[in-house]
Amino acid sequence: MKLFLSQIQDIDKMPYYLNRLGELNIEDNNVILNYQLSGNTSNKGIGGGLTIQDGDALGSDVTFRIGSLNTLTDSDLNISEYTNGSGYTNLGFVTELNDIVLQNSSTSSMDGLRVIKEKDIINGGTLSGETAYSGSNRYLKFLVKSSEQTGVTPSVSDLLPGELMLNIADGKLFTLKGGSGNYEVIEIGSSISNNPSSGTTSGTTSTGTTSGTTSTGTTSGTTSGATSGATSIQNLTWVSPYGTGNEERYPAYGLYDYSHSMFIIRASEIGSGSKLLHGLQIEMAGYNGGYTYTNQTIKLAHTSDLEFGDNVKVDLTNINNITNLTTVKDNFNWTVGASGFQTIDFDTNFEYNGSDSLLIIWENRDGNWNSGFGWAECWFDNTYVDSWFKYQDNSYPSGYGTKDLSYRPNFKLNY
Amino acid sequence: MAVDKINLEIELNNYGNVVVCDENNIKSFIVVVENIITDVTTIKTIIDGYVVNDFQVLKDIRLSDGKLKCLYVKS
Repeated sequence: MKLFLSQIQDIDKMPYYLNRLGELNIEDNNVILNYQLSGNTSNKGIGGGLTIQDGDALGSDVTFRIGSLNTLTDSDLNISEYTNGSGYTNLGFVTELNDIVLQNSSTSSMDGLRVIKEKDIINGGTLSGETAYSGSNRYLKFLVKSSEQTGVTPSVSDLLPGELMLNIADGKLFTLKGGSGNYEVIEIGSSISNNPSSGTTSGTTSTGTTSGTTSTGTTSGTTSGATSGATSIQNLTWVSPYGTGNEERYPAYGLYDYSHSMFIIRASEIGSGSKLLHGLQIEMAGYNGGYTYTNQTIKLAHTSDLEFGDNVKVDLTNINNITNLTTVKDNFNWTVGASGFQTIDFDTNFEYNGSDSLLIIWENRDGNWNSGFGWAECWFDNTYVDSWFKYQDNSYPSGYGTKDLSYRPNFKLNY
Repeated sequence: MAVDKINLEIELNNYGNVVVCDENNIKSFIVVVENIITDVTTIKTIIDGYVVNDFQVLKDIRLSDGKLKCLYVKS
């Protein structure tokens, strides 16, 4: 016997009617809402599930299925608590639509819409026997749309449709904002002075190899403490604009005994807000395995300059308003491994102030040259003079060098 | 066609002592000659004749203290 809900005039009495029924038992394990006698259900083999049918007797109705999929292996999940003794209890939610819209009318409560609970995973793998990663329909993608808000400290209520907010384990809230093509992670509740612009930020770690064994050589360069402790490490990574140009001379030039290179990254690229930098990554390629530069030193500083001007010298002459010059990694041996981002963890952190440009100074005091060197993958831009270099044999360079309008290595800053 | 490194080195040895004359990596070729007894243009002309078919761009050339170093890369 079919039960039509429309026959129940007073919806508030539903529990009463259901109580009278004792239970609602759908023998074919299907619930179809708005079912029409003329409706086409021939292609709705949904098993245990629910169908919302528009009654036009055509396809493309909305179907849902809640049931055990049992397609994931132990290694797929690697979370033992998902095992219930009879297979995995990962339950599926399936629609025939391309989009799923979850809406919460309340912006005052973070509990208003709960999609994923703690330790749940979002599985981009297979659902029912498809070959894993075999096609475009199994890649998991999130569309994050930036807002147009300027100079406003974001809060939950600032989120617009399409924006993403993340609530991480330590209770801090982050959102993604920025201009077209460029996004920045902003901690909710932190103060910002202007609208974040270029530069991307991600919380992912690189796949590059780690190098930078500290040697026992002498210390060189001026060091001043730039870390005040006011900013903590957030385990985030700022990613510079990315390019595919090849520059052998950056950050160290293997064809010469010594080289000195400098790079400017503007505040408009890094984004506002202080950041405690604890490492950098630089994308390298073309190196023969095991190529090592000895006696490398990296220094960071603030400068008011947006680019390198004229008559800059190795000793930083004519770079304006340099402050907090800090040797973050001193006299280390740098082995360039496989192509990709190479990570250098600092020995001394640097607190970037969020308003000045960041000056990166790379001193190559190896004292020898060897073939087999590669290149830095670089971003090409003819707008600012972002890079500067000088190199020579026999002794460390001094005096004037060459400014580079075109190329700057692809950097990541760990903070 | 690969660079004829043997004959290039023989020619360059007439003007100095060849230290390196070889592919540096998959994209570049380096030549280093010490005790140069001629000018940069002469050396460059010789190297160009052998290298530019495979490594079209002269990225760096410098003669300092009698030592010439040059780096050619693929375009």
